Amino acid sequence: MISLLTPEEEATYLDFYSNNIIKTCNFFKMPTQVKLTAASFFKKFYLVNSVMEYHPKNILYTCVFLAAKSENYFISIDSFVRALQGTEAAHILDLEFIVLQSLKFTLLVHHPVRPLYGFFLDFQAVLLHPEPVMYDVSVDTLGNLYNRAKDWLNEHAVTSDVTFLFTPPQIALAAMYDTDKRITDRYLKRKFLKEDKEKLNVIKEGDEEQPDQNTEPQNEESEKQGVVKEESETNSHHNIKLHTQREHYETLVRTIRKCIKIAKEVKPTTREESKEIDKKCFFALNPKKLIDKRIKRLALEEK
Amino acid sequence: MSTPVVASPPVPLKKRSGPATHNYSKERKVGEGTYAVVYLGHQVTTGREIAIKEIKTGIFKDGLDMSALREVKYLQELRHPNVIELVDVFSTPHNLNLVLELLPCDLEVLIKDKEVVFTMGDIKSWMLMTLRGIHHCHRNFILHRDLKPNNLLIAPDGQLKIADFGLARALGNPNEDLSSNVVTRWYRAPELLFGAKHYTGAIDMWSIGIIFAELMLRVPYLPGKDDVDQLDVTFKALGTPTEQIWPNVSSLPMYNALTVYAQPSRQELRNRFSAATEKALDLMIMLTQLDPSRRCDSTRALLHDFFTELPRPTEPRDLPKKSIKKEEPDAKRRKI
Amino acid sequence: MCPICKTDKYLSPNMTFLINPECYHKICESCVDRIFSLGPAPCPYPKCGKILRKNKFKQQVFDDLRIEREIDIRKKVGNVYNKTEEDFPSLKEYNQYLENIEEIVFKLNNDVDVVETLAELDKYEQEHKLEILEKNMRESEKSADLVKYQEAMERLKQEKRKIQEKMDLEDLNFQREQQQKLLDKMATSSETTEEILKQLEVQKQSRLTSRRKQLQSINENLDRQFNSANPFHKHLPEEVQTPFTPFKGDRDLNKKYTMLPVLDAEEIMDTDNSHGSYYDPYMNKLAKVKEFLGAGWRLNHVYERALDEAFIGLGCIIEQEKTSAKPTLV
Repeated sequence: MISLLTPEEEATYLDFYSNNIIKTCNFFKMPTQVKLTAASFFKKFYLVNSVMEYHPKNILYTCVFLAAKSENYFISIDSFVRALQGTEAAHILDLEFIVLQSLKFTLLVHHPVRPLYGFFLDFQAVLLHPEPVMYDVSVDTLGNLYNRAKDWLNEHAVTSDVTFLFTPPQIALAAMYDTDKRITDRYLKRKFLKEDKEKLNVIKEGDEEQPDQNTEPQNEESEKQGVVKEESETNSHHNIKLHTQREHYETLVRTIRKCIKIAKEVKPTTREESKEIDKKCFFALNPKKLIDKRIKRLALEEK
Repeated sequence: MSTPVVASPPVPLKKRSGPATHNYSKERKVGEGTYAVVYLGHQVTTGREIAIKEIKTGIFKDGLDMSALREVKYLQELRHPNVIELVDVFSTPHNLNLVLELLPCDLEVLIKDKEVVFTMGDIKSWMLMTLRGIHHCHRNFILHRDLKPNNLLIAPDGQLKIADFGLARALGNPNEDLSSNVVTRWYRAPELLFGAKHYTGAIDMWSIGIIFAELMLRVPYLPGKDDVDQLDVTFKALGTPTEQIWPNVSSLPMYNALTVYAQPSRQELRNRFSAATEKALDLMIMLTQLDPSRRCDSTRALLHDFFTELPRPTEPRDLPKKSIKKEEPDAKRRKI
Repeated sequence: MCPICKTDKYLSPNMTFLINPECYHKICESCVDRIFSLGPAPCPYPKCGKILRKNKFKQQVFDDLRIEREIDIRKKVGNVYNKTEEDFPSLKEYNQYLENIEEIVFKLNNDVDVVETLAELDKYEQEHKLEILEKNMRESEKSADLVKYQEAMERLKQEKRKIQEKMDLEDLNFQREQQQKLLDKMATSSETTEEILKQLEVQKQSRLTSRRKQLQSINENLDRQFNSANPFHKHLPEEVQTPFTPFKGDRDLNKKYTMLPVLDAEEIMDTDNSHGSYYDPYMNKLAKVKEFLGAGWRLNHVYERALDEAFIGLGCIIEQEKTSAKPTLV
C-alpha cells in the first residue's frame, strides 16, 4: 500500500524546502524583497496544494522565478535554468500559471522589512528627540538594535507562519521587542501610553494618536472634528481616553508577544528527516512506480 | 490599502478555475493586442456588463508577460472610484482572464471628437477625477508610468477611471534603479527624457499637466516625432532647463543642453491657452515644472484654488459624451 | 506657419490667421495688413489669383475649411431665406421650404450649377425684398426680449442684495442692543455672568435661525414673482449641491507619527548627527548623490514612506477579525 504523508510530515518537509528558497535566492544575489516574496508564494501555494500533488523542488524554483518577475528583478528563464541543476525551462513555465492560480492571482506582498525601518526612524524620534529619554540609549544603540532585529526577521519571520497571523508592522515590532525588550517597551509606552506629563499636554492641542484608528474611515473633516471634540473635553473624558489607551497598548503588547512565540516555534528540520519523507513522497507522487516495483517483486518471488 | 494590510488576498476571488468560467459570458471581440484579446460580455448572475481581457499564456519565451503580471498585481490592490475596477480573475486552460468593469469611452476619443464642446467645468471635472485616481495610487506608493488621454477611460455614468497598469510599479528601495523608458513619448517628463533612474511620482504629475493642456487646446501639446525631437518640442514650449532652475539636472545620465530656449513668459502662455483662467494657468504651470522636485504633487494639486473657483466641476453624469453618429462599433480598437 | 512671410506660430504664439471666403487660403494677419491695405489685390497663393478685399477677411472658426465654407454659405442663404416655422400654415410646407434651402446650399457647396443657383438666389431676394426685411425686424424684436429678460434678471439680483444689506444692518443694531442689555443685566441681576451669557447665546441662536428662514422665504417669493412674469423661464430641477471635498476622504490626516525635520543635501554632515533629524549614514550618503537629486529623489520621501508603512495595519488584530468574521465566508 502507498502510505500517505501525515500533515506533520508534510509541514516538516516544507520547512526544509523553505530554507532552500533563501539559498537559491542568495545564489542569484537577489534582493531581500524577492527572497521574502518567493517564500511567501511558496507557503501560500501549499496552503491549497499538497506535496503529494506537486513536488516542492520545481514549485520552489517556480516561486523564485515568479517572485523575481513580480519584484522587478527579471531574470530570463534560460539563464535561470542554466544555473540550477536538474530542472528544465518547460517544467518551470508549465508550473508558473498553476502557482499564480493557487495564489489567487495576488502578487503584491507586504513585508515587515520597511515597517522595521520605519520603526527604527520613529524610535529615534520618540526616544532621542528633543533630548534622550534613556541615559544609555544613543543613535548607535538604536542602529545596533535595528540590525539585530533585521537578522531576527531573516531567521524567524521568513519561514514561520507569522506572516499569515500578524500584520507586517506587528511582526517588525516583535523583532524589535524580542531583540531588546527594555528599549522597545519604553518606546511603546511613550508612544501609546503617553506616560509623560508633558505628552498629555500635547494631546490637548489636538495631536491625539490612537493606535487603532486605521479601522475607521478617515475623512477630510476628521481633523477638524478632532479639534472641536478636544475643546469641549472634560476630565472624565480624559480618564476614559487614558483607559482605552491602556487597553490598546496591552492588546498590542499581547499581540507582539504571541507573534514572537509562534515565530520561534519552528524547529530546524534535519536533512535526514527530510530524506525519509522525500522517499514516502516519491511514491505518493508516482503511484505507478510503486505498483511496478511490487509487480517486479511478485514476479521474482514466483520464479 | 489604507485599511489594515493582511498577508492574505484582500478580495475573496473565485476559488481556482472551474466555476468562475461559467460566471461570465464572452460575447463580442472588441480588440486584440500583442498579449491580450478583449471581449465584451456579461456577469451571468447579475447581468452586469463587463469587459474580459484574455491574456495569452505560453506564447512568451519567459513565461507570463510582465505587463500582464503588473496589471494583475496592482489592480488587485487598488479600489477607488477613479481607478478601473478589476472585478475578478479566472483562468481557462491556456489563458489568464481579467474581468474588468466596462468602460465604453476614453478621453482621447472625446478630445478628438470635434463635435463635442468642452466647458471649463468639464475640464475641471476630468482633471479632478484624474488627480483623485492618481493620488490614490501614489498614496499607496504605486506609479502608473503611462498616463495619457487614451488610458483615462470614461464610464457610462461619466466617472473617469485610470486604466492600463501594464507599466505600473511600486516605488522600490531607495537605491533601486527604475527604467527611464516608460510613459508614451508625448507625455514623458523631462527627467525621463534625460534618462533619470531615480524618479518619483512627479513623472505622473507631468503627464497630467500635459493632458490638462491638451484638454484646453484640443490637440496634443508636445507632439515630438521621436525621442530627440521630444526634447526639442518640450523645451521650445517650456524653456530649456539650466542648473539654476533645476539644480543637478546636468548630472542626469542623458543630459544635453541641445538648443537653449528661453523660459516662456506668463503672457506667452496666456496667449497659447486663451481659454484658461489665471488659476487654471497657475495649476498648469505648477504641473509642468521642469524640475521634478518643484513640480506639484497630487495633494497640492487637489488643494489648488483652480478647483474651488467658479465654475464648479461638472457633475460626472452631465459631462459631454461621445457624439452618437460617429459610432462605428468594430472600426475602433478599444484599448483597456 | 504663414506660407507668405514664414512666421512660426511657436515663436510668435499671438499671431492669428485670417481667411477670405473667396478662396479660403490662410494668410496671417500682418500679411493681410501689408498686402490688402491699399485696396483689392490678388490672393498671394501661387496659382490662385482671386481678387480679395481686406474687409472680407475673417478669423477661421472651424478647423475644417469645408465646414467653414459651408457655414458661410448657410449664412448667406439664410439671410435671404429667413422664414421660420410660424410663417407657414403647415409643417409640410415648412419642410418643403427647408428642403429647398438645403438644395441651394448643397449646390453651392459642391460646385453644382453655381452660376444658375446664384442667379436664382438673387432673383428670390429681389422678389421678396420686403418680406425678408419685415421678417428681420420681427426677429430682432425677439432678441430684444431676451435683452429685456437679462435686464430683469439683473434687477432681481440687485433687489436681493438690497434686502440682504438691510437685514445685515438690522442684525448689527440688534447685536449692539444685546451688548447693552448684557451690560445692564450684569450690573443689576443676581444671576451669574455665565448664566446670563448662556441665555443670551440661546436667544441669539433662535433669532439667527428665524432670520435665515425669513431671508429664504423673501428670496423664494421674489423668484416666484420673477419667473411667473417671464416667458423664458424653464423649470429646472433643484440641484442638491454637496460641499466640495477635493479628496473625498481619501487622505490620511491623522498620521500616527510626527516627522523630525529632514535636512537638505547641503546641510548633511557626515560626522555630525545632532541636527535634530534622523540619523542613517547610508541614507545620508544617498541624499548627496546628484543624479538622485536631479531626478527628484528626496530623503524625506523615503522616510515618510517607511514611517507610513510602519503604522499601516498596526492596529489590525487578525485573530479578532477572524473570530468576528461571518462563518459563511469561505
